Amino acid sequence: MRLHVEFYSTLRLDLKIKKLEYESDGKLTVEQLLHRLSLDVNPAIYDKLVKGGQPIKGTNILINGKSFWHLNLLDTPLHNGDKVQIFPPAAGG
Amino acid sequence: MMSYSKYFVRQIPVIGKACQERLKKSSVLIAGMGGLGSTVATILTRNGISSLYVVDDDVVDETNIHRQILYSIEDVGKKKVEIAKRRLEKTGFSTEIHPIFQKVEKNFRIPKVDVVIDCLDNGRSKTLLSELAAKESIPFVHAGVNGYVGQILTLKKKTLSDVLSFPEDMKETPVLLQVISLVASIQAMEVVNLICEKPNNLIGKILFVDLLDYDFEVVNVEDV
Repeated sequence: MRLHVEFYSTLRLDLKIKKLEYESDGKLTVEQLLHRLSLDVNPAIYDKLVKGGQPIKGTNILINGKSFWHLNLLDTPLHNGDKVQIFPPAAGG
Repeated sequence: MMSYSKYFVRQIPVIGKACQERLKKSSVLIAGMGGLGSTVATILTRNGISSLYVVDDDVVDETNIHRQILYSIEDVGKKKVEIAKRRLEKTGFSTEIHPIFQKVEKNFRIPKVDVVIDCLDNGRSKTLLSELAAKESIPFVHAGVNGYVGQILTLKKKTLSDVLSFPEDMKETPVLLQVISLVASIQAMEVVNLICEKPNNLIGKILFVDLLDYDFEVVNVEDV
């Protein structure tokens, strides 16, 4: 399975990663992807987004343009070719 | 004194005469008269918008001056919406500026406007404002800034909570006028595009701006 993963906003600046193609032998959920990215790409990824098994408020993950908050959160299954976009929105004015 | 259209002889070739006429009859609400709001209000007044409702429950603080372009050191302690009205009216275009010294809360009533512009400084209020705008079926132009980055998104039917989850409120988000100006300019451009029904807009699209790496990218959001 191949996923298109993109980071935006302050997360992009913190991780110093913009986009990557992630390949997996088997199926993944959002949580499993975040774990894998922490192992393979940057160890900070998972802890920046998840705490106590729940997504931290302000974690935004779009799967093909749809917010995971309105899907199955961390249990949302991912499919081959999915675009996964991860960011914390800025709230200052 | 020049007639209205003569003020915009250099602008009309850009946006078109029909658009300028629409701006002359339009009204917007700007919630939050801090960094984003000051700049959006300045731009839209100078674009020739007929009336602006400016909303804020705060007074000017000396730590605002570096980025909130409508205020000076002499204004410290005074209500932002009153100073904004005075400064914007000095442009001389006869724009109606309606100051609303109020916090955006559940009972806030949005006046009859064409666009609601989110220049607030925390996720909770931004989300609430989007719900109030959606109830009145008024287009909502959201923006947020944090350090070198920001984003802009327009909603027509949905609310911010359909698309975004905001972090716990930061008391003092780091901010830079360059980023604020850029994000506010894009918000103001979006407002003109919506009023004039231009084909290019950010309905259902998040435009991410990053002034550290000079990156600008659009992310499509479903069903908004």
